[in-house]
Amino acid sequence: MKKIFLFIIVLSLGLNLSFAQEGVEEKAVEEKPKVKDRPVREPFGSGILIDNQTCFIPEKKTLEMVIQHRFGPMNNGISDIWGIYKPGANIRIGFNYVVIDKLQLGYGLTMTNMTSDFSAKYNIIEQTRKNTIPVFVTVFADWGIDGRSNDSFGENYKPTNRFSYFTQLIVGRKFNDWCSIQVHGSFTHFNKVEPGTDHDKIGVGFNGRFKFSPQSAIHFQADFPLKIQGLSEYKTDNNEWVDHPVPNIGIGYELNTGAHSFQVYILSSKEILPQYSYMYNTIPNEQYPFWSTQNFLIGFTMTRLWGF
Amino acid sequence: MKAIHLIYIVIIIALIALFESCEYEYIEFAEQPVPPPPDTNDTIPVHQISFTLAIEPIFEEATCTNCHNGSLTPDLTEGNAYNSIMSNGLAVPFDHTNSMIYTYPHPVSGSHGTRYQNTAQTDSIYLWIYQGALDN
Repeated sequence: MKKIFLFIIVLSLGLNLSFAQEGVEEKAVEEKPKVKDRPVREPFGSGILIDNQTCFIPEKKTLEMVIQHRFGPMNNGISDIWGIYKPGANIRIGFNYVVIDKLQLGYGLTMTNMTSDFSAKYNIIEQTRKNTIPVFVTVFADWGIDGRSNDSFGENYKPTNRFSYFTQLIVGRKFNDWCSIQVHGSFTHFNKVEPGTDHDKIGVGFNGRFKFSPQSAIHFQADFPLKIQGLSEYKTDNNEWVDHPVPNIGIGYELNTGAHSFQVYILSSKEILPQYSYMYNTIPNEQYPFWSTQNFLIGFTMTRLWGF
Repeated sequence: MKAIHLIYIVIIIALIALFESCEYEYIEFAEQPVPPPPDTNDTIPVHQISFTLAIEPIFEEATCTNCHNGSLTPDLTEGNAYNSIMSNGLAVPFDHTNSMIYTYPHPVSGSHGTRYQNTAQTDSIYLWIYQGALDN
């Protein structure tokens, strides 16, 4: 009898112990700190991809200098080295600073109309490594100030006549270590334009890069200004589109080091600022089709990062 | 918390700037002077624009000839500009809208990298085309 009693006590203690252990284990599981799903590492090597912004924003307190350059059209071939020695280059020099995590503010000066631009870029959502968030979402806004003399704006000049705006929503994904793709939609507005030109333009596009070595990549872009009947203020009597901006299509090579990015590309817009590219990228002479070398030119972009 | 405040401030400033400054205006200039039609019986009329005296110097002033100096078409140097412009179809008599010598480097609406310096220069070119784009 004693043995049976002792067996029951031992058994119950054993069960209690095992239950208690399970409880401890459950508690341990509950209290185990969640592994943070961190953002993917550098979906793009630079904040700029040819003409477009990427979701890449460096760490906070980083200063970025950007030099963008466009040569002349390539139509003269070898005689002026496909436009490299041709006059009529376009240049932009800009500086961006990451004030807080995921927010970058910038200023730049472009040769087109000596336009100053102030920009802001913010990463709303970042793609994570464990795919908890599958895409990144970034907004970019640019405010341009035309730097020409007052009489270029005609009668009834006001300082706000100089303003132009560009807003863009970018959604993209780093698919793997060598492929990142973005799509974007944008809205462009110019306060004062010459008669026969729209004030507003909506555009869509896509771009991306394919890395083929740790430092090198092929990148591309395609931006399309849309023909939206309701938005257009100007068409001919036959309801046809006149001087509608052409797409900005480009392809190039990118070289990235830790703090530098160098991109060289061929593209179909001499404009550097996005609002000008979406609004004023027209074919200067209609006798040349879009795919002629008259409409394509060589350009390059260099960026340099400094951490503070 | 400070970061969130800063974001709010930037967003508010951006929205104010966007909505307070959005305008829909057109660039309009004072009425273009309408010269009398060219009088072929007269010698040079009072308002006749001389290509040699009024137009060619513009290409020099606006630095067009820095590049268009014979190495690049059109040749806009003195003595060669008229032939180069007309043979390349860059000026259409009486039709300034189809004259690339007027439209392409226009300081307001042109898309050339280098443009005329002011509208006074384009007004002269406009008048010259209006009067028949003569070699005078």
